[in-house]
Amino acid sequence: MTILTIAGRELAGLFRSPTAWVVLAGAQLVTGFIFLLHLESYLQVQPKLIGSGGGPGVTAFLAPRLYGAAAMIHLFAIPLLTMQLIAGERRQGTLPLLLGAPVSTLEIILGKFLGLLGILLAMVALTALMPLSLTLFTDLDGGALALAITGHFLFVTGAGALGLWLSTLTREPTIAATATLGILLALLLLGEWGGTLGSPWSGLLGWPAPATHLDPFLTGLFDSAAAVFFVLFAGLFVTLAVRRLDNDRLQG
Amino acid sequence: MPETTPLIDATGLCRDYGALRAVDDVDLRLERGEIVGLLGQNGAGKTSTMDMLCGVLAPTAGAIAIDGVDLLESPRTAKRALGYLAEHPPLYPDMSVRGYLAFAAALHGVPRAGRGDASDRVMSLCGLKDVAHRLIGNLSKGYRQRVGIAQAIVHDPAAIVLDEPTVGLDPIQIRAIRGLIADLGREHGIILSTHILPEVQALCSRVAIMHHGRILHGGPMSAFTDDTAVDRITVTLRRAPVDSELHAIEGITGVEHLAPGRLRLTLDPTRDVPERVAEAAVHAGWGLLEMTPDRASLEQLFVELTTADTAEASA
Repeated sequence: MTILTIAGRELAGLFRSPTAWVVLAGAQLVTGFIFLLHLESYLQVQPKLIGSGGGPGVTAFLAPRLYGAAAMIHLFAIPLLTMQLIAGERRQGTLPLLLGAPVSTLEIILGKFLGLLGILLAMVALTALMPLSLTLFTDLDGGALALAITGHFLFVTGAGALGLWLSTLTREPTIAATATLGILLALLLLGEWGGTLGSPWSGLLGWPAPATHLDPFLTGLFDSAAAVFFVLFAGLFVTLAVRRLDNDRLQG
Repeated sequence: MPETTPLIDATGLCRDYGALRAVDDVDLRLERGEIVGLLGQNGAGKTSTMDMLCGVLAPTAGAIAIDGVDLLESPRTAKRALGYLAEHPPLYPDMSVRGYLAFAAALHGVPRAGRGDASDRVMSLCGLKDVAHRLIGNLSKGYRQRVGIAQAIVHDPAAIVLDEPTVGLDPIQIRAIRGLIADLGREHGIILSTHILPEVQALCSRVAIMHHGRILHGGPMSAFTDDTAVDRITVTLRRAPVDSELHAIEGITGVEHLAPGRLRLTLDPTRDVPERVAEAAVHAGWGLLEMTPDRASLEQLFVELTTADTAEASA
């Protein structure tokens, strides 16, 4: 109950701040531009594909390209949405209100996380509107698209949890944002580097990167191991965030 | 055993920050209808103590019971009986006053149906009706402080903890806030921290003086206002007698010369010494010009306690 109260305030607060609007609008603009580019190139190759008898349909062609790009763009957007979750409370001096209330630290963090999920869901929905707009003109592979949307949501959830944790570590939102972006990029680059080294390094170094586990979803496969990865990734950082806030009470 | 459980009963509270012991073996009790003033210099450990009483900070050692419920064992139940205004009012600048108070009420477990009424009640109590729909970020400091107090009482807690509630306000605002605190003190128990002596004198029924993390003095404020407790008087005489003549008066324990003809007499407060001094002055023709009681003042005690310790430490 109090989780929903905290989540509601968080979500309302995010939408009251210009940051969220600018971030959502900026991400949408860039993603939209990339979507149009890929759509254009699909339209160019489509006659050849038909001529050669088959090839990938529009969903199979667009989904990996669009969502691969969206994941990269959101890598930059998410830190801006998570940075003030706890660091902002610290800075504003509002944390004592939450800590002094009959609410556990778990409830505080879950409330914050749920509020964040609200805005991340908006981001996922806004991105999904682009391929969905094509249903006006053609038939899409609904299953493949649903899978890509699911993967996208899991990806932003994992990245958001990391951002939430880093936001509990500091009272400066900018530090939280920079650290979140830094870690997400480092994980991504580590995976890329591993890819150049070949087996077994590609698997080993690529594993911690959320982007690695997004790929199967974009190729129309439901990889339960990848889904479990995202749940564990998010769970780990939510747990760390709870511990950090508990520690605040202990260390002061 | 006392007949009623105290609202706040803290025993043996300690708090370490690394090697520094900020709060050292503090005992604090708050009864219903009482306003306790926690007095101390900046950095004396007042805020740490209050943070611990409200569950914001975990004590290194000690126990806290709120209305008989252990704060560390069942924080959820215990915190419901508590309202806390931290040193910096925990306000969200992007919320309206009414929205914020409803949020604070929800956090403290006020059922949905009662939140509107609870917010309206504290807004009229704290004089916030006119700014109900304004954003907190646009309010003046005085109003923000009032919103902070309103937040602490919106769930009608039995015990209220206020950390420096009047700091940074203008004299008119201070008067208004003090009036509000005095009103609240009739039904609730209040612990109030401050480094402003007149504030304690104006509001509190009991005072605890804190210094270097320890409570050096705890007692009722009546000790400072009661006429019967006079233990020193200052007299001005036209023809001062020798000290032995004064010592001959029963109940005088000390004579101190402040200026020619001006003496401070230390005396036993249980006897009517001032009356005897007056009689003696008339009989012996000392020419009594002035006689004023030197009440043991809070300021005097505060300065004595806090500077003696410093002298001791630097010695």
